[in-house]
Amino acid sequence: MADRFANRKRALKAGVGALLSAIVCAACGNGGGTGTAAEGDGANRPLVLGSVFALTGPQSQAPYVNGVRFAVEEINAAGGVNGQKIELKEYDDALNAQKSASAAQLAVSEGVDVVIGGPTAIQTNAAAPIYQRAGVVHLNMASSTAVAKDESFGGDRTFRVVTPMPEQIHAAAEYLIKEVKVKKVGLLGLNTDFGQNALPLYAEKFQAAGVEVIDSKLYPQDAKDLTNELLAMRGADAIVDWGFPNQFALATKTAYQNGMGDIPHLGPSAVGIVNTLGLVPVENRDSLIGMSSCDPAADTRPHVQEWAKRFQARFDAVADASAASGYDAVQLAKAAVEAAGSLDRAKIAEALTTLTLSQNTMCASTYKSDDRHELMHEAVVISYAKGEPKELARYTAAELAGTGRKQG
Amino acid sequence: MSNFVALLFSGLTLGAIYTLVSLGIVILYKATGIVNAAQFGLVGLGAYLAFWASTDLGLPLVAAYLLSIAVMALVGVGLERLAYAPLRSRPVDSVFLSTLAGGFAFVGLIVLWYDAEPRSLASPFGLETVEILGAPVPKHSLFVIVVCAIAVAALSWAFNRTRMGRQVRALAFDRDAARLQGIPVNRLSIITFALASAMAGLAGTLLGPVAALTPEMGLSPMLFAFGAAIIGGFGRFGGVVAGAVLLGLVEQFGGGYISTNWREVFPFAAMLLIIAFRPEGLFGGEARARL
Repeated sequence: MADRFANRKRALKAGVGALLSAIVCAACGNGGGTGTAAEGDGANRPLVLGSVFALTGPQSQAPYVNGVRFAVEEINAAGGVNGQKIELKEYDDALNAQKSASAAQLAVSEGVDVVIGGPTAIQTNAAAPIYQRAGVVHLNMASSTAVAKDESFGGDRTFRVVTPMPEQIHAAAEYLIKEVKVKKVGLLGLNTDFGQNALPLYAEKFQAAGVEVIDSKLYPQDAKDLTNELLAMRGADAIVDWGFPNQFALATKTAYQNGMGDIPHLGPSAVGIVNTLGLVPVENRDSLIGMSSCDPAADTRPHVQEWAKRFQARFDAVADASAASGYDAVQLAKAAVEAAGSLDRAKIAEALTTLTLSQNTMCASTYKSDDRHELMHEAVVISYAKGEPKELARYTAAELAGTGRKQG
Repeated sequence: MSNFVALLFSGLTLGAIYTLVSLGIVILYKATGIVNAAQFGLVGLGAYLAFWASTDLGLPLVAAYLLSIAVMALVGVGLERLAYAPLRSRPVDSVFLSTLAGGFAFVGLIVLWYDAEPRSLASPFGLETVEILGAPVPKHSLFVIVVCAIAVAALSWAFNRTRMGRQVRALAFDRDAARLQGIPVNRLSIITFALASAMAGLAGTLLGPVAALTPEMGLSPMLFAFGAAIIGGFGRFGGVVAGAVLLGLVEQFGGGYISTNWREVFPFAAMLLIIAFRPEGLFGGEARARL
């Protein structure tokens, strides 16, 4: 009995010793730090790019994912970045806060250098602090998240790739006030940060211009009926609806059924998705107007049109603003790594603050960071009448940069 | 007045959807004693089947709807065989969890089949409306209400006038005695699973043209359906219908005349109030399902 006990003790000691040795060896191999790819040069390894979007859950963000994939495929086919092919790692966060945090942790632990993701506040608020703590460069795809350098989820490694929401709202309000010449407007919005932040900004713009805001309503993300909300919009010359594609489509149909189908119904880039996915019958899209960073379907630049055809052939789907933004985010990462001359994340971030990217971009004509790490300041107003995207107005960085920011 | 009429019909439409989902839950509960938590997945699957039949197969919309319901009945049989029959003698909470897993499996199946991008299922009536007391009421809403009324009438007839219905009621009253009397419990279980699944599919096809198709579209209606079943008195068809319609109307009138921001809170607040004062539900029946 005593011998068996002694044998077990020896076996246990040997096992613990082996385990400790393995841990020490793993730490030595990694070069220390956080246990992930360290902040070193990484000259002899590929750029590891993380793509973190919702593929499941209440809203699919597949266009972003496909835009990123397409860019990686084309860059790798042309030789990669600094002679190495990009290693793409994809994560599904299901548009859920807990899963966003888990996906971010996984991306960090798997050694991602640059992450592209976070089109909504739910995703960004959960993931951004994790990336910032780990030193991962974060290219954020949301217009409404607080990721500017001086905001709660911003930092020295976080950059916004799309036009900030206050600037989009400024452009949309300018369009309705000066081009459509509205006198009364109704405001609808999703009852999340996205809509909650947008509606007061719109109200402020309209009221400053002497336009009456008839009513302002927020609706839930899983709304099955918007009769209440649309009845409150009666009498408006235009309806601003700052929501996601499903709800925008429902609001459009309900507006049409309640005799408001002929007044402009303006929304964010989600309107482009409503159009491409056919969520509203073609004959009921005459009043649809989208405000977006871009829309490849309405873009007259020849290289964008060629790209859109290639995208359609590759994914059997129309390239929309999300796909274009995802594609451009990868181009930004490539440009930053090439400008930095290394995979050191601090140098990549530094490069992003100074570079100007105008070549081979599908959304913005030019990306250039301002002091808040916001890379894009352009917007377009698109009509989707009869399902045919057509640019109605374009606002440049010179007109938009800095608009909507609180002064003082 | 026109606002009132518009909200009335939108509330009745929602109530009709909740009724169909809820009746599926109640039918199954009466026959098997278990609560089927897979209803939300079945609602979504029914809607996507109708979408597939109308777009990929090119069937006329009504034919697509009918095909969806028929396929969903078969899905119900499969669900009974795989998720319920092997666990028949297990505790009800195990069966409940098994059906809940089945619901999520259906959601996963939809994502694999069509991905999570929203889709649009057309209505045979498009966006046409008819004017009632000055309010434009969507023809599809009237269609939903009429179809629901027919479904409720048909089920009531089946459960009150047919041998199968009497057997199910006997099972609900005393399962052991019913077995001893030779009632074919297993066969009834298969039939009621098929019926419940078909009801969920019907709810999904009718809901599809109203809200966009997403894999998890049945989750919210199922929550309201459970609420309807509880406040109506679990097990009573009339009570379930009344409960579902009440929830739909409270949601719409509460949102319209009190606050849209709290619109989805009002039905559950009403449910809590009713249960607090009448735990057995508005129309009596069992106070709770055995979970």
